[in-house]
Amino acid sequence: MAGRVRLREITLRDRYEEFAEMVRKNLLEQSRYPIEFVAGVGMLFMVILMFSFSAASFTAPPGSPRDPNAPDPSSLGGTMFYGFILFAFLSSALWNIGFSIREEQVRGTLETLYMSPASKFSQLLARVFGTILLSGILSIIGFGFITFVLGPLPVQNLGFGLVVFFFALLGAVGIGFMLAAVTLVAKATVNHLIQFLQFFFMIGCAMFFPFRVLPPWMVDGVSRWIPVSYSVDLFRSTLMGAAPELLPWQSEFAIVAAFGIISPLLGYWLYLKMEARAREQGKLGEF
Amino acid sequence: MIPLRSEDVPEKTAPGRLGLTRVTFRSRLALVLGVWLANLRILSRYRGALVLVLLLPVIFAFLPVFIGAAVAGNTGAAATNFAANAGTADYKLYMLIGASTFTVVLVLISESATWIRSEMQTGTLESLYLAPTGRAPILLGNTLYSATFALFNFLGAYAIGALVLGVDPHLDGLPTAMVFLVLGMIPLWGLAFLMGALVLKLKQANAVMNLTQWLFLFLMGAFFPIVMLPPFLRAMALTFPPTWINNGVRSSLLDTGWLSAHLGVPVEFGMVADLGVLLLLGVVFPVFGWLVFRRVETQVVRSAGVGNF
Repeated sequence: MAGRVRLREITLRDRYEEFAEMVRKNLLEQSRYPIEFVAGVGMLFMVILMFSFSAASFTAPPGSPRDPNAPDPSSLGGTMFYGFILFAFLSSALWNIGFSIREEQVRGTLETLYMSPASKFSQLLARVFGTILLSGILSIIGFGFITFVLGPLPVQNLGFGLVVFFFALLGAVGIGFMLAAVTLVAKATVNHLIQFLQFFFMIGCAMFFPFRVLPPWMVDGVSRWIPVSYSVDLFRSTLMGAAPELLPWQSEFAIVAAFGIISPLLGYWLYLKMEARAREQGKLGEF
Repeated sequence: MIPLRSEDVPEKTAPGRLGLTRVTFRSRLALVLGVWLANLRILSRYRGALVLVLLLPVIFAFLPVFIGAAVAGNTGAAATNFAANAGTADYKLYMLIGASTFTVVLVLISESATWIRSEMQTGTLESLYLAPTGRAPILLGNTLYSATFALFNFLGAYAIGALVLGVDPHLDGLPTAMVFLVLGMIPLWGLAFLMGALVLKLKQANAVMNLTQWLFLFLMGAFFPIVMLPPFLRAMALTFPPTWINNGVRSSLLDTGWLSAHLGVPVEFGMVADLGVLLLLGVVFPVFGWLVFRRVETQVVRSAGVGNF
């Protein structure tokens, strides 16, 4: 490259080793703070307990007639729990990709990272690896806890469910990349933005309840415009052996797969654009 | 900001301290107000964050509202069932009050925890310990700021939420609700110290906050009456200041009953008794919180220092 001294070309193998080192470093860092795992397990129990008691306050008191429209607890438990799994991974992507950029800004290490020839893509992706592992463990623990509280949850079409989950996860990573791009501009606001996005996805994508309880204007005006809604609907309905609520499963799968492929690319492109702008303005390390 | 006058100029250095500054009551007060104003100025620069924090409780209140409709089968059945369990059919306002009050608790506690963590990360916490003013005025200024921000948050979210959810906000009960909120901030200050100690010790402010916010939501009964909890958890909830604040605000606005009734206090004295309990917690929690904070702080200073993260 003109004007630059380079000792040798960076090969694909170098990139792989570099990525593996970054993942190792992130895992090592996380292992030094076991409190994060303990807090994750505690949070999981708290969320389940909180929603269970909230739900219980809407059940008919003992002795009164049961509404014929009311769903059975196991089906509702499945709806809430499978939504929760996607929420946990999406949340991890938002905090661990988006917010970690903010932490680098505050620590003053973000500019230093740009002096290194390491791939920016790997730097972003490696941040989420440990947390995906953590969310996976938490989901398994949560599944056990929910089964203990509500009885066995429906588990149908596991293979296809995992394919849907894979694309949903890729989509979530892409959203994390987009948030990292916004972090370069939003700075301190990003903390509130992540909280807002968490609740926005929670409600707009009906993560803890079926889409049918949302007002029609919200389903048509919000839910149907967010690809994550289709991930939630398809993942949930696949595992519960029910028909999706928004579109036929073939159409939903096409949207989920397309989003899973496009979202990380779009997110990374956006990140590079924002980063270039921040560097031009000398605001990369500013916070 | 209060300007320093000529009589504030020191005649001699404060005992046991180096430097030219003698710290007077007036200079401490100026520092408290300075910190409060500085924080408000910083906040005013993030208008996007201001809008988001006002919308958060409103969006949050939607969650149990929709869960309720899903559980009961429809909104009519949800209102009927909720009235039988919680004493009011106005479940949307019930959830909005819970979410808005939770925001006050969260702001007061998380602002302290994240402040300590952010000072650690930016490397300025150790410098604050070297300031001749001591840490108390700085902490007080931060607490004043948190209280201002929390009240603004509550009122804004409550107004927007009532509009969005299309419910009557029962404004006649608002003055009593505000008394509960403001009085409740004193024990919350104690909880903030405990949280600060936890962050100093464990460092991971985000993990700690993620866990505690759900724990607080659960124990304070933000979205359900605490009578639904098993006896052991109910007893725990009754020793927890946010439970009394939330119920006080809720009862003032929705007339859902005072918590002291569960302790055998006649209904006509319920409000006074609830305020009395909050006052008592307002003495116990700050003293306990401060003692724990000082103990942890001393340990941290003696080991690796407060700047270590």
